[in-house]
Amino acid sequence: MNNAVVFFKGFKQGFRNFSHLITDIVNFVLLFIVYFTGIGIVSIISKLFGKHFMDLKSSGSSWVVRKLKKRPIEEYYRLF
Amino acid sequence: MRILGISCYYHDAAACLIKDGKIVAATEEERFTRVKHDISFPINAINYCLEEAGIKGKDIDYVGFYEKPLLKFERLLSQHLEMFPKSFWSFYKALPSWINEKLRVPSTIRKKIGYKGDILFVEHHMAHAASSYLVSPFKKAAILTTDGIGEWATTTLGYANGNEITIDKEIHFPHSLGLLYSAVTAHLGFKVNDHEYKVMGLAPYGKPTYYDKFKKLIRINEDGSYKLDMKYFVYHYKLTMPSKRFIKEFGPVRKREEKIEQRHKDIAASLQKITEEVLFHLANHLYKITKMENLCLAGGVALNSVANGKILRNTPFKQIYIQAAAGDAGTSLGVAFYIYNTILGKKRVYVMDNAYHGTHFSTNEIKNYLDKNKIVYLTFKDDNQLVKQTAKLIYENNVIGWFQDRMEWGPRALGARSILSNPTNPKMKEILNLKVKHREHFRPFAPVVTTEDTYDYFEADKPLPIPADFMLIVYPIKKEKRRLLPAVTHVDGSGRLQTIKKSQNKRYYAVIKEFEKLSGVPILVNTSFNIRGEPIVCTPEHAYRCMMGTGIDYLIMDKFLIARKDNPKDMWDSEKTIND
Repeated sequence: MNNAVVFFKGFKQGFRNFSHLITDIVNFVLLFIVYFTGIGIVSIISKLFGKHFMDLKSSGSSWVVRKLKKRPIEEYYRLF
Repeated sequence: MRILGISCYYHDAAACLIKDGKIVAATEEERFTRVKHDISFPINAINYCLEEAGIKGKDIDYVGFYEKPLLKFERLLSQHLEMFPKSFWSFYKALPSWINEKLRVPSTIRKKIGYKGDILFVEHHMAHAASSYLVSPFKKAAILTTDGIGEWATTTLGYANGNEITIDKEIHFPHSLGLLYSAVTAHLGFKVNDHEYKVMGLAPYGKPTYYDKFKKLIRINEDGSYKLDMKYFVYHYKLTMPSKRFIKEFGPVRKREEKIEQRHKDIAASLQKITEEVLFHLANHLYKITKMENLCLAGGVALNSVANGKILRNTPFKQIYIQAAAGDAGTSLGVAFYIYNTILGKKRVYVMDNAYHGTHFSTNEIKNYLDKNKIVYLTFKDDNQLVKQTAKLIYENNVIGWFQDRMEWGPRALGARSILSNPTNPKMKEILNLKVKHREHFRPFAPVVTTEDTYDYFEADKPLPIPADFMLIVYPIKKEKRRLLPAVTHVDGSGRLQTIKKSQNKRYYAVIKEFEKLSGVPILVNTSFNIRGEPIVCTPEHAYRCMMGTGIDYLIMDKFLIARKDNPKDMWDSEKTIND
């Protein structure tokens, strides 16, 4: 009986480890596809048109003027 | 009206509940989960806040979240679009948590706390600004926030009048003073978002011989702004921070177990010098555009207490305020007050002049714990006996665990969950390190001093800023007093003091005054009550466990005295299980 319990505990743990491995592999494949197609295509096209998404190289002031004040409450319901 | 503020998912998850504009409870999640800087949804902290208020989730009027998640996600995508294809691993590591957690904040809040009402999202740096200004005593003030990164902003300049806060301008990622400090922290072999204060403590041991090299990394503009040369950093597309060019300039990265050399100390000193220069430059520019006498600071960089102690001397500002939890935990407080005072326009009725907003345990609860676990203890017959006996034990060079009343809000121990000892003993630093803290040799211990005696011992600003009550300011100790305070005088003669008034914490104050009668000095060593690598203790069980796992001699918990030597059955060695 004890042997059976030990076996099933080990089996359960092994199965759990296997499922984590599958998750990691699936995540990797999916994110690889998303990155190299989604991000990649947009990035390449943008760079062809000279568009930059971050200020890495420009000289001069770093200030971004905001004048951020209180807004109507409805704007705070948004996640952006 | 009850408003709950929440911050989580990056570092220092926390919750703050306010009622009619006053704090009911505020606490960090790490204290409950025992995971330092815990980032997970702060359900334990929230449950404590609700319990303290005697309400359920459905009774809250508004919930505030400390950032705009989609704005942050936009920045993240921008990083990857800009840095494609170099950023794949960073993308692979980051995306799952966004999909599983960070983009699902509204449903998570509703599900976990049973709340059905409105959830308001406030920009990260606005939450920082509010966390300082709206609980300060100022009717109007200039506001400077600096941290690693919020959504896009890393540094903002703003001002406030009455209830209204305006963020005038900001500096965007990847140009970040906070991330510069973190990159050097990583380079020096310390943990990012955890050990920046160690780098600050290391700095006085070095000379700023790398200052000119730092000037290559960061350009300070005439208009008050700064810009990093990103050729020296890789954090905008990798999981590490300094680049190969940085390593070529500053030498190899120190491994954690490697000895700290003079080079490392000099880098720390140079970093501190450049950080202060940038901060003063920003603050001076802020004064120029606002002409306001009061300054509020917030953001992780506002925890740099060495820089804080020099701000008033290096700028035209007359007064300064920094809230006890100036880092990301404090944004939960900031968003709650921003909703109440600014969005809803309610009158400001609260000034934070103490940080005791966390858990507390009644005398009966503590007694029940001690009895249930068959712990040997004594009971003080009154406060007078407690104070006298504690002061005597400290004077006799015992290390005392002090567990009283409500736990502190913020990263510092301030006399509710503190370890206290004798600052006049030249060997006390060694004793504390050997018995309890096992810290690096270069890290100083901090003093607590009664407010009225501060100027006798410290070269402090006048008037004394409130942040000194929160241990957020370092001042030089007067030269003639340094020999009296060997355990708390840092190598450069400074001390990161906590000032305490009788009205803030009667018992703690009384112990210090009683100690003064014995030693002639109204100062104690005050260090955080925790096992190395763990958060500050929260419950009686944590406190007892900490004493029994270290060399703390006595634990004074409410009116009970527990001696370590009286409970040998519970002794264990915490050093064997350290994860620091």
